[in-house]
Amino acid sequence: MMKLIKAIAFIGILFTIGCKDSYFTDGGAKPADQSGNLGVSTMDYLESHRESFDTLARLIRLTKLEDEVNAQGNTFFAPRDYSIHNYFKLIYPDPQNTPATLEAIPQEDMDRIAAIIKNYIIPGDEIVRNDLATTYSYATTSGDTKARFNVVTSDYLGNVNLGAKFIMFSLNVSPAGATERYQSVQVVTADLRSTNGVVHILNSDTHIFGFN
Amino acid sequence: MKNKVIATFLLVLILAETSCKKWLDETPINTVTEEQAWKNGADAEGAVAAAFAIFRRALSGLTKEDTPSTTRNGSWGDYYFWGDSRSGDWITPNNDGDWNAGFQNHLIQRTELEPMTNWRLFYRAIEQCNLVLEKIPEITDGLTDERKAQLLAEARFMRALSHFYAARVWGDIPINLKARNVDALGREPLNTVMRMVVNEVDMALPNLLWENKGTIKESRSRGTRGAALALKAHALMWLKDYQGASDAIKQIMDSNNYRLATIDGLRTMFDTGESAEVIFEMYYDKSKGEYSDYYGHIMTYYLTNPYTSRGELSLAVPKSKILEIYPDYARDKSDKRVNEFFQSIDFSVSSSELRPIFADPLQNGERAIMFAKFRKVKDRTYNLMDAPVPIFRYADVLLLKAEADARLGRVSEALENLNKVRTRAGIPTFTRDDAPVVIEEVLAERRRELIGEFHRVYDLVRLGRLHEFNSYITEQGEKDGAGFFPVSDEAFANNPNMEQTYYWQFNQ
Repeated sequence: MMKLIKAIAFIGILFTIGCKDSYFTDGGAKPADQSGNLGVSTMDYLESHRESFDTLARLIRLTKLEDEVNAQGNTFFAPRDYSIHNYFKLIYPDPQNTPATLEAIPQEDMDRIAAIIKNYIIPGDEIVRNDLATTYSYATTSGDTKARFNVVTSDYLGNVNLGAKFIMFSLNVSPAGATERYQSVQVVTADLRSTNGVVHILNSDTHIFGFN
Repeated sequence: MKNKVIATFLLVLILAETSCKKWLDETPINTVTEEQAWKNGADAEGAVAAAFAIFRRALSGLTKEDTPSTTRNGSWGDYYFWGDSRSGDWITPNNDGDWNAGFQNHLIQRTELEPMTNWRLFYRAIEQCNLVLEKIPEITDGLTDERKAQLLAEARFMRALSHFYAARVWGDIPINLKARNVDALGREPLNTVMRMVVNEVDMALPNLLWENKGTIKESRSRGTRGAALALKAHALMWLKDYQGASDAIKQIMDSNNYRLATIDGLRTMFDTGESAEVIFEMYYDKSKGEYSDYYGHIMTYYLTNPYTSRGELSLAVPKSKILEIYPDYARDKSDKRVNEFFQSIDFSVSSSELRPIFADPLQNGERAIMFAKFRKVKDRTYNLMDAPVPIFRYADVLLLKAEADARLGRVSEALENLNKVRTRAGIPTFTRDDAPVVIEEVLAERRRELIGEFHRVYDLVRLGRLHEFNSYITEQGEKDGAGFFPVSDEAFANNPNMEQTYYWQFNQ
């Protein structure tokens, strides 16, 4: 009888400890304590996450925009390397003519890249999810383009106003003066707080660097 | 005492578990047996309709219910994966591994793609036609000689079509013209299959009508003379008998039974199948309880909210590709087909609402444009996909004739038909008159007109040019059969005569 009880107790223990959800991983974009406080500057954060942002960080250095990215009180929407990879595939469709290194990119293309990066920076405005609503709010990027923000909720069952809240970051892709046309991208990791401002990470599957 | 309680409890549990054996079930006395199935006219009608129904299922693909060796729960709309996905025009914006493997022609390594290598349902449709051709001649009860001849011709047409469709997917395939075949059939060369298709169509043609009864979609989802001629023309193109193909299509044109829809009429054609442009399609009709659920119709995968509740695109044509395929649109937005075939959705709106559609079809970026040639009502339900699956239509055969005529050196005739399609799309007529340029342009026009209609890969494979558009396929690989799907393991069971396609003996 004692043996049976022991066996049941043992199985019970197995069940309880078998349910640890430490297998859950989130890609490591947030600090381990899940607080969102990075404790480093935006640039340092990008550089320390080489798996997602090393191309982005090098492009920022090459275009000498570190100071703008690191400016106090700004918001930076970080496109992942996969978005940049797809951008290069788009502008250099022929593998023969693709620059071998980032340093070898011609100056005029580099200027275009600088203009693109500026559109991911919102100077002097800390945009966090709790300040946003389902209705649109607007800001101007460092590249002088109109940006639009709103929050959408999605619970995979189609219930209204339930489930995870996502920031939608949209950029006006029309030339100046024309009717505004927005292209949007979903923020997948929101509200990371660096020592100088706020960092949001963008969905890299559908989004291509530069809203192309 | 305690032990007794436990023992009793266990006993009860065992009894409860095992007492559900179905030894009381018996075969009901109203089961249809072989002898009863072929009695009268209604049986004959049902048997032929069943052949077409099996063919429609064959297009959408095998599921776990069809064969235990298949892991897939529902079919995926395999006609797309056979006829379009490897054309180099498509991407999967959410990076679905199975579909990427499909684009890259890795067709064996993924278990989820394995069902696409299985031709079982095509041979079930063929078997059904063989039975019909064997049994219906003996039926006299409630079946006029005229109707009997029509039904036999339809079965012959469907048998030819199933062989033809399978031959485009797998290349060399077994020819089965016997009911209840028990021989181990080997694969016949593609040309032999296509010649058989042409012969069968010639036998069926005299007894086929131009229209069956019912609405257009009902009439043209069954065997008609137009469908048979289109099938013959397609098969003759594979045999490089361009004169024969051109003549067959001439008959379709001379019948005055078909005409090009207007550009606005395309919507009706793709949504409901009720259009004079349709030559042959496989329709679903939800009012008859016929529709394709979440799985089974390819439009599940490229539609999102507002048409279904999906939030993200799974299959798309990238923007740069659209501009490359439609150069007239890239230049001055003149090609009206871009507006008809593509849409940009406002993805910044919550997925619990109906998302608005932008006026500019290409407003969204490279990887976020919806292929919206086939749509459904905007109600966000997953199921009730009831748009017809197109197979042959008038624009398709006009362009096929243009290609045939150009290859025969009759450039002005070719240009006439090419320009009918171009004029409808609102792009300038083509005027160059050297045959190779015209042939190239006809192919480009087929790509523009028939994008996503399961023709592109077959066109390229027929010409041995798939490797030019799909960088994962080499020229030598294509010569070895990379353009065709591999044969599934199931086809090798108990069949010593079966052989794997040469390319797929060495590749995954």
